[in-house]
Amino acid sequence: MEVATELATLTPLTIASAAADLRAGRLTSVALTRTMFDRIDAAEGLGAFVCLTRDAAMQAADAADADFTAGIDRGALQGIPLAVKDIISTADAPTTANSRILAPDWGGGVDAPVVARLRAAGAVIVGKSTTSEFACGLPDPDTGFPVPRNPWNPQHSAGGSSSGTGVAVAAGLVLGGLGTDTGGSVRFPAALNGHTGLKVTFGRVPKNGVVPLGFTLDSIGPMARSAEDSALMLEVMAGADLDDPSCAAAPVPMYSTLLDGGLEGVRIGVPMPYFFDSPGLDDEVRTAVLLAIDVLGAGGAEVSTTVVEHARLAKEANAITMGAEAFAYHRNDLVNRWTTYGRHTRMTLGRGAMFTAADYTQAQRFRAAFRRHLAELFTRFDVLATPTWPIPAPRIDDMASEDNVIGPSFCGQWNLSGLPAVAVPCGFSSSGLPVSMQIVGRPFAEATVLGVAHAYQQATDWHERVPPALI
Amino acid sequence: MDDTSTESSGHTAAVEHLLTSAGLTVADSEFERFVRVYPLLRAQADGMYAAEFAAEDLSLGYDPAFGFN
Repeated sequence: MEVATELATLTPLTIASAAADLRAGRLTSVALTRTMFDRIDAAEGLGAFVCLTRDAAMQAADAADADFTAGIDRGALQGIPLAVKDIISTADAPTTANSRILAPDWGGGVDAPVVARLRAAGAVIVGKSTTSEFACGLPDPDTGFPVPRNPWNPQHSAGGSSSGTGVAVAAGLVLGGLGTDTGGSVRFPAALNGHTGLKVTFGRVPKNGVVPLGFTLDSIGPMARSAEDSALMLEVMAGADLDDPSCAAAPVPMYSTLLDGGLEGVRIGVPMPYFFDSPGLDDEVRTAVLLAIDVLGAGGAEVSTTVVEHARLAKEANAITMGAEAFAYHRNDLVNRWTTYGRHTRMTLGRGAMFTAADYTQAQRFRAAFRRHLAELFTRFDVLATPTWPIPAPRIDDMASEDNVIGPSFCGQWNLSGLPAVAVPCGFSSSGLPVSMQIVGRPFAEATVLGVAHAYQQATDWHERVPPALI
Repeated sequence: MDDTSTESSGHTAAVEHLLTSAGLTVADSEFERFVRVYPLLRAQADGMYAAEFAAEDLSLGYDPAFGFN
C-alpha cells in the first residue's frame, strides 16, 4: 500500500514510464492497479465508468507481476491498467452501449479481437467506460447510465462518444484505453479532456466485437496521454483478423520504435479555408493551433498553406453516411421501441430517416471524388494540421443534439476518407479548458502522424497536464 | 399563404411522409424538432448532387487474378 499511496501523488504517469518502472522493480502492477481503482473511486462523480471489473483486473495484475518475476515479458502493456469503451465486447463484463435497448447478452461473453490482443499482451482491463448511447447522441441521466463530466470543469462536456475513456485517461484513472471513432468519437473527447487520441486508418484495427454505428466509417483507436503511449497500444491492437473482412492485412510496424522526435523535411499542409476560417471556430482555438504549427515549423518541418476542397461537403457526406448506416442498424428497434432509446439518441438516429436512398448514393459518389482529391493532396504533403474541435468543452446544459448538424466539424472528413488522424493537446482556453491540434496522414501512415505528434510533445508539455484537483 | 409558410408546410409534409415511411412514431415535440432541422439536412443532402460529381461511378471492380478469398 505504501507504493500505491506514493503513486497517488505522482502525476502524470504514462504507459512508457510505468513500463520502465515495472521492469526496474520500482513498481508492481498490483500496486499500480490498486492506485487506479483508488482514483476511480475518488472520482466517481466524473462518470467515467459503467462497470468495474475489480477482481479480474487484480488477478491480471497479479499474473503480470508473476510473469515479471519469472522473466516473462510480453511487451510494454504488461501490467498496464486500461479502460474499454462500453460498446466493445469483453468476456468479463456485459456490453451495454449505455442503452436499455441492447440485448443483455450482446457479444456473447467473448472478448473482441482487439481486447483479446491487449490481454494477451498482459494489459489489465479495469472496466467498461462510459459512451454516448450507441456512440451517438448526448448523455441522458434518464437512461440510468453515468453522465460523463469534464475533469477540468465538471459542469462542462467530456465530449463523445468515447467519453469515459477520455475522462479516465485525462484524470489519471487509467493509463490508456480504447475508443471508437465514426465521426470524431476518439478525437472529440481527447480534445476536450486534454490527452492524445488516435483515429486509425479504416481497417487498421479489427472492429468485430464492436456495436456498429457506421459500418463503412467505424474504427477502434487508442486513447492515451501521449503519442508514444498511443503507439505502444497500436502496435498491439493493429493487424488483420480473419473474422473481420474490413480489416487490412497491411504489415504492422513497431510504431513506438519509429518515433525519433524529428521533423526535418516533414511537409505539413495547413488547410486554411474551412478549418481555420469557419464562423464556428473559437478564436482561442485558432490561435493555439497556429502557435502549435509554428512549433512544428521551428522543429524543422516544411509548413505551407493549402486547401482541402469541399471540406464542408465532406463533413456533411460523413454525417449522411453515418446517419443512413446507423438508421439501417437500428431501424427495427426505432420502430418498435422508440421511447426506450434515450431522448437525445433517438433524435440523432431518427435523422437517418430524413435521407433518401439517392442521398446516400450521392454521398458515396462524393466520397469517391473526395478520396481522389486527398490522394493528390498527399503527394504534396506528408500530413495536414488542423484544429481537432472548433471550441473548448461547452457546458453540458448548453448542448443540443442538433449542434453537430449546424456547426463545423474538422473530424468527419477523415472518417469519410478513412485516413488516420491524431488529436494532440496544444494549450488551454482562458477558461482553463484544453485545446487540441489534429494531425492527418495518408492511409496506414499512423507512424507518420504519431511521429509528428511525438515530436510536438517532445517540445511541449501540454499532454502532461493533469486536472490539479483530482489527484 | 406566403412563400415562407408554403415552404414550412412543405417541410412539415416531407417530415411526416419520411417518418411514416420509416415506421417511426414520435411525440409532437419531437416531430417539431425534426421539422426545424429538416431544411438543414435537406440542404446538406442536396449539396451531394453537385454537377462536378456527376461522373463518379460506384460500380464494384474485381481484379480477375483473384477470387473472393
